[in-house]
Amino acid sequence: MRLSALYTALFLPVAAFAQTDTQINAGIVDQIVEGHILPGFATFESSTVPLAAAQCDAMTAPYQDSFDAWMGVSHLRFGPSEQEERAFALAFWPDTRGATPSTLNALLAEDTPIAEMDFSEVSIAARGFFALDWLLYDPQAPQMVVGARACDLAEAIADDINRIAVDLNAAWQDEAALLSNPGAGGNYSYLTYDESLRTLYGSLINGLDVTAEQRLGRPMGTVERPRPIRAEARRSERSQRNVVLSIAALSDLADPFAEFAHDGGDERLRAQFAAALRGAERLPDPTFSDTDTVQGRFRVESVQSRLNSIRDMLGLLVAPALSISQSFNALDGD
Amino acid sequence: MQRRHFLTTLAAASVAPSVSWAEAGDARFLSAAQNADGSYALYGLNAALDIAFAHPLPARGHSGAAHPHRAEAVMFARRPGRFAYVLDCATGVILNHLAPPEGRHFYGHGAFTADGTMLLTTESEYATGAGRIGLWDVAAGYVRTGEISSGGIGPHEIIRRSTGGFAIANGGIRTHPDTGREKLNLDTMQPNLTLLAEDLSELSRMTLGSQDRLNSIRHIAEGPQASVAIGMQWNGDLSIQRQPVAIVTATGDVIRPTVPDGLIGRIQGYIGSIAADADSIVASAPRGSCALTFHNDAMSGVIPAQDACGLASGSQGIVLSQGTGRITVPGTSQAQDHPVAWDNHMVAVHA
Repeated sequence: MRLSALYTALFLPVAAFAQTDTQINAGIVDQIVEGHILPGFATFESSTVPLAAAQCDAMTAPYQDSFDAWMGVSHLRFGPSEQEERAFALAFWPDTRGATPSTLNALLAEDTPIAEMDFSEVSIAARGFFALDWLLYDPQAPQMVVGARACDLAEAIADDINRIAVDLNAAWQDEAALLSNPGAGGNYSYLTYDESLRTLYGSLINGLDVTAEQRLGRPMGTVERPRPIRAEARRSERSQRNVVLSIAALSDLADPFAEFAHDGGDERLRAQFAAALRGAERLPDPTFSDTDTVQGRFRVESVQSRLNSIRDMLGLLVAPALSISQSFNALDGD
Repeated sequence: MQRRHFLTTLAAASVAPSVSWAEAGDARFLSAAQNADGSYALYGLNAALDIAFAHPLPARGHSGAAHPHRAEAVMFARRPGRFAYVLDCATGVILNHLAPPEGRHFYGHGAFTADGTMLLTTESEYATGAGRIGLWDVAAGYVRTGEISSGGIGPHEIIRRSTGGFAIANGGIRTHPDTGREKLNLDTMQPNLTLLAEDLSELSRMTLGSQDRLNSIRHIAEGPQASVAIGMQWNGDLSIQRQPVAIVTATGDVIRPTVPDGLIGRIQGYIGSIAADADSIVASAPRGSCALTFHNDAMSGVIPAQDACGLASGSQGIVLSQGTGRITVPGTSQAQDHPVAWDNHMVAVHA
């Protein structure tokens, strides 16, 4: 009897282990997979087609569009995005040692024709959107003249972005199936809907942290020493835009989780996201170069504190429903 | 032993209460835990997995040993430990403080002889790294009477076998109290399973192949047909996936049930505890928040369980505890949530 009960439990883990919340959790996972992840990566892949097709002297518009689409999924830093360092290869930032300009300059100085290089083997600092941010926009970068080595390089980077986007879109279809079918045979990534949800929740919290601490925090620096030149993608004037698009994407990811927030918590959460988005849209300087003024810094900081309070609200309203634990034993070991 | 010391301990032993487990809330399982306020305690759990008793502990415990018929438990400190406590589980009084002799430290586990007259503790002689089994006279008030070789380096868990004698998991990893849990001999480590006869003479030492040299043999349980089930912890490159469980049959054959690669990756090659009953084995994987089940020498399933670690075999089946406070009997609907974080190991009371 016990044995047969055990087998039932093994093959129907959902029925045996999750309580009454299983249906709710399954519904939230499906909403996020179908409404956020899959359309996000499909849109991103489509956006890279015109980028890869463009000549280097007409690349800025498709670059901007494709970077916009990347912001819709850049916070999903797990599974396929972590594998083969794909997300890192698309977005090497922050670049604390100036590796992108120096690696690109080294590639420009080499003799091997760009066409003969295997771009997936090139240093990550010279790939992805931040390589184009420098090549297409930096005053120190060579002019984009068709036939020049710098042009070939920009086009190779665009092709590489497209290749990664195609891989990502395919790999995320598989990951979506794993997220939506936890505990299915051979699925050791997610054993329960709780686990799928905890992973998605983790990417939401991590995304909020990246935007608050990096995108907004880096140019703020300290009060004594603001660092506006550390703003993300400032050469292509996307610093503020990336913050806006990131908040919009995180709000979209967070929305299904609001189901867990009772007693009006869902409305408060949505209102906080709307306020953060409004605050980010109203920031007057697209590259945060005004963070060295009292007013400028204050405006950026107010968006940052809104994001921090959203994270705290999620911790209070949503995390308990997901049994986020401290890992008493997993961290100790022995 | 000095005569004066003998007389003192004899006196202590004679006043020590000698009550049965029934008088300690009829506890069937023991586990250390952290309370919600951060303090530590030793808990007893009854057959319904309700709290049988809760006694404060001065520090975080690791594992322990239950006296076979007196309601006494020995609780070891986390490795590398310099102390263990003997608790009267009926009253919570600490009857004895055990400290290993100079130059030794505890490795966190111990076992009583079947008649309860002697306690065996896993220890390291840290100047040489040699694994030792400390011998303690229970009736005399837990007096150290001697020690023997553990048969390897870094002995971790020791269990009493139903056929008489003991099995020792020599993890193979040398540590030193000055450097905490730092592994000092990964270049030469060689874990083994050592079996002792009832008279404590060494029967055998079993090592796995050279590919498993970095797979620390750490936790063991007596499995079906007097086999020994082994849960290992991989100390090599995590991209190399080695099977984390072995079963050594009574005749010395080694069976390696296949755990799929994706699952070995999920659990990071790390088994936290292992338990077995007449027809199954369960191995916990705290780093993968799950437990693996085995039937007939093959893996039969995965049980999702956040921060799963403690395991013990009882009359109702194998009991699994979690850092979240949950205790379940996998394969049944029995489950209890307690407002504590259960620590690494559970110990079955065989009253």
